[in-house]
Amino acid sequence: MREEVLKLFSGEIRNILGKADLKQDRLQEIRLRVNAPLMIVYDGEEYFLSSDGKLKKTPSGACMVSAACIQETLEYISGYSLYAYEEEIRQGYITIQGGHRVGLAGKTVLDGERIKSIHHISFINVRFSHQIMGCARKVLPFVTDGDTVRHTLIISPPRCGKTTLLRDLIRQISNGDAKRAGHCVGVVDERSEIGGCYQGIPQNDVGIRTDVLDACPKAEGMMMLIRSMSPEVIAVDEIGSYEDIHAIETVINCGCKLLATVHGSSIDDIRRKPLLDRIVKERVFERYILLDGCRGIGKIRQIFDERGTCLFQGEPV
Amino acid sequence: MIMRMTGIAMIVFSCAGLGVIKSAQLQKRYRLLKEWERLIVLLEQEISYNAALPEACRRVGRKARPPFNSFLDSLSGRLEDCGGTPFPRILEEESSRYLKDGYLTKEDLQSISMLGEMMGFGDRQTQKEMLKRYGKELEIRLSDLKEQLPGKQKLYRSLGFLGGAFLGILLL
Repeated sequence: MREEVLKLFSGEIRNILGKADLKQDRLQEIRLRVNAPLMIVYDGEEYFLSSDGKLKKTPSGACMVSAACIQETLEYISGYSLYAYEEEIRQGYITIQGGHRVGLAGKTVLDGERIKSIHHISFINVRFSHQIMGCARKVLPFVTDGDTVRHTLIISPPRCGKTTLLRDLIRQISNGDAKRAGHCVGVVDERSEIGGCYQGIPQNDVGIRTDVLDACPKAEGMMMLIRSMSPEVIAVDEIGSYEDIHAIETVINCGCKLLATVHGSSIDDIRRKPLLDRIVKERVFERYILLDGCRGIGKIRQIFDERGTCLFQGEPV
Repeated sequence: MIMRMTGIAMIVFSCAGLGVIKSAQLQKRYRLLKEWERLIVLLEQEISYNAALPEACRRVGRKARPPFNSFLDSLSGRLEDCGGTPFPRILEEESSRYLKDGYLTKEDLQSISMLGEMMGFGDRQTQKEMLKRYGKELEIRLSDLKEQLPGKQKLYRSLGFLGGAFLGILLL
């Protein structure tokens, strides 16, 4: 495991992870729960870790995580500065160097009906960000037409790779290649998932002509980018609110192309949401890419055009 | 006789010199504390922009004068390393490493280390309040020092000269 990852954990856990023979690119999650065994998700399988770094399928003999371990880990994750992650903690996660995401849970503190913070953090889930370079190669001919980019919506259930696909699409559109010129891309990365920015620097490769507005609300960010960075393409993750749809209309009227993602499993699924139904009816998006969760991350099920004609059909399961 | 007079003159001169050095050290100590006060303001500003401690220390260190520049730079490096040492301990170790042999007194170093007990927890507002309070205490300390400075400097210089003169008289 990389040193940058190991140093996030308390001395005891660091020691165990150091002993375990883990390959960084196959490690998906490390879960710390107070008074529960240390768990990892490795190659899609769940394992428990023993004190000597051995992977076990059962919790017996696994190393137990103490409250002190969680506290120490939190200190390191936040760089001894929990105050600097106030807003992130309120939302339940911190993005760290490398673009990895640390999910947090504990006792929530409310201010009226609004979550103010999380105290007594007792559960930590470190989710490792993995870029899949070239995963958008297959969809690129559908999204671009020569030097023109088409308004595209990626539809997929959670954890099926829509952000991974969007990230690679951004990278390829931004860089360009021998056949296509590169485009200036503006990314509004509200949850720091696309660029995985750490101290404002994208930790994932998002291309050479890409500007990232990190941790910024989508609707506001899209308008800011149009005013300040004159992007040719704007990319956002997980659209859905009224403000997002309103900003999308503005983006399109400004002549910018839009790449976006949304949760759902089919076009009918998103048409059940009144706001999204309107933009489907108005044929705002020229391409709809549907991902298939059953066949692994980033697998394309279908690609439709604005009229609903199927342009690509993935192999049946 | 000439040799004796020369010796006495040298003793008087050395003692007066010691007084002048001691007085200059006091002035230097005041300047260092004043610089520390400035850096605390910069640190507070960095925290307002939501910078984490390693980043804040590194950025403030770039604007600091010696020996605080090396101190803050090294502190930032140690914090980024996450070597398993709590922040107050890191701050204490780094301050004794970089600031101990300077002009600051033991109390000054303790006051710098005290910052470790105040930082790293709570929310941003609390951190800023803590730094403000620390800055206020430092301001009072500096104001006392400034008030006492001319008198103390004069005292050291006079003591040095008079001590030398007294030794000279004894040797005559």
